[in-house]
Amino acid sequence: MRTTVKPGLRLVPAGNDSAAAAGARGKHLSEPENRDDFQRTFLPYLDAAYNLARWVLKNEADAQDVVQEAYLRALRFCGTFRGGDPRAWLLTIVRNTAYTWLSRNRSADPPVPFEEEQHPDEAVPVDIELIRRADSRALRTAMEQLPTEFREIVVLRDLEGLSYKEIAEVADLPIGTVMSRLARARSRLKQALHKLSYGGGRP
Amino acid sequence: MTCEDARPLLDAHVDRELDVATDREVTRHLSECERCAREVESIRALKKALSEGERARAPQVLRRRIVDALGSSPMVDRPRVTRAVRWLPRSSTIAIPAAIAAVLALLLMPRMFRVDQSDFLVREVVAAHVRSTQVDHLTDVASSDRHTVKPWFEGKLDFSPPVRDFQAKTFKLVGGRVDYLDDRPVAALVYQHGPHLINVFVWPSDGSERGPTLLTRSGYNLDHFSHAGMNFWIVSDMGRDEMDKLAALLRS
Repeated sequence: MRTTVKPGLRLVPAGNDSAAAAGARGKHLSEPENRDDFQRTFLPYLDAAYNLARWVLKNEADAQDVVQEAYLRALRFCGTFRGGDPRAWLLTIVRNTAYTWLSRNRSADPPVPFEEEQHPDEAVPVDIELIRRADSRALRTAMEQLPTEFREIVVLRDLEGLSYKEIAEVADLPIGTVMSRLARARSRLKQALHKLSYGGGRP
Repeated sequence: MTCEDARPLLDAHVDRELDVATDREVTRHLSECERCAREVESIRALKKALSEGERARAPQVLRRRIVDALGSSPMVDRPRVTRAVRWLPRSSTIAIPAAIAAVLALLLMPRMFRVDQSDFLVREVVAAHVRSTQVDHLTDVASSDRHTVKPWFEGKLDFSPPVRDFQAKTFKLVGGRVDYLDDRPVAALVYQHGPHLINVFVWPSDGSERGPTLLTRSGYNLDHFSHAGMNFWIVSDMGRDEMDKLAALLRS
């Protein structure tokens, strides 16, 4: 996780004037005030947090535990939050918590294979109608077949709408890697949807 | 642009993440290449299908669980020293000699260091000013109304900068943006005085009153002072007298 080691930001309550803000900086805000600020800042991203955890872990009960743990961690570390995008900051913690959970509780997914070299993207027969008709179950199955490292990028981009730069921050990757993983992930999703509807479909 | 060049860029094109020039190239290629155009359509269709159906929403029970847990969990918001000390026992063999070395280095560091530090800040301030006038990024919120500019900073900074317009005194507030100086996000207030653009960088000080100190760097005049709990850096290509005038207004 990329946290700043500076004595960080204190969330300033709305409506503060400059004098009060300057005064507040010297001392810590009282706890309840800070706690309310924390909730106001980060609770709106609960759906995003849950969605990411749900797709990384592929399990709803585990996702709930991980998101709760992530929020408690975020509360502990919110002294290191120095402005910027609260959603990206929170999702970074959720992602790390989920991966820690995975490594503790399950054997990790097999590493991303270099399948692309053998099956270059060109080979995909593109049937747009098939994608448009794909039902929720097929989409879900296709998503779950993706390696976690690819799936999380699709979730952050296509479900949560993060920019490549924000994804790079959350997943701690260079932007170029975000771009290429996303392209490969989508291409695999299309392949999977194709397989699922034209026989050879796995359960 | 050939198919080979365009292929790896199609996803970023759909996501509007390409720079303008490359995006134009891709668009031109798409008008000529049916296969790539179809590929783009399929990416769009996939994105649409995913965003419409596959986003999981947090169950209400989880929301309640979290609010409860947050309410009863201790808030550890201690200064970093505490955290460093907690970390010590596990790796003390490296940490303690390192800490001693760091303390010695600080003690032995010549006073020049402080000068270098502030000189670095001066360069940062000038660079930030130049950047803001070169790149099309002078203001994130363009308004001469301080009631528009001030609330805009809320949530973007951990402090509330004083925002005032001095149009009656020929220093017109043009807008504001968030910049990054001295290792932290700061407020940049942009004023206009005749043909001159002025950046006023503001962030919380340690509380002491300092300055004003006028200096010149790379053809720009800078004025630095600390007042009412804030550090102010004024930077512009206007003359010293005018710098003094604006500084006096900001301190009034």
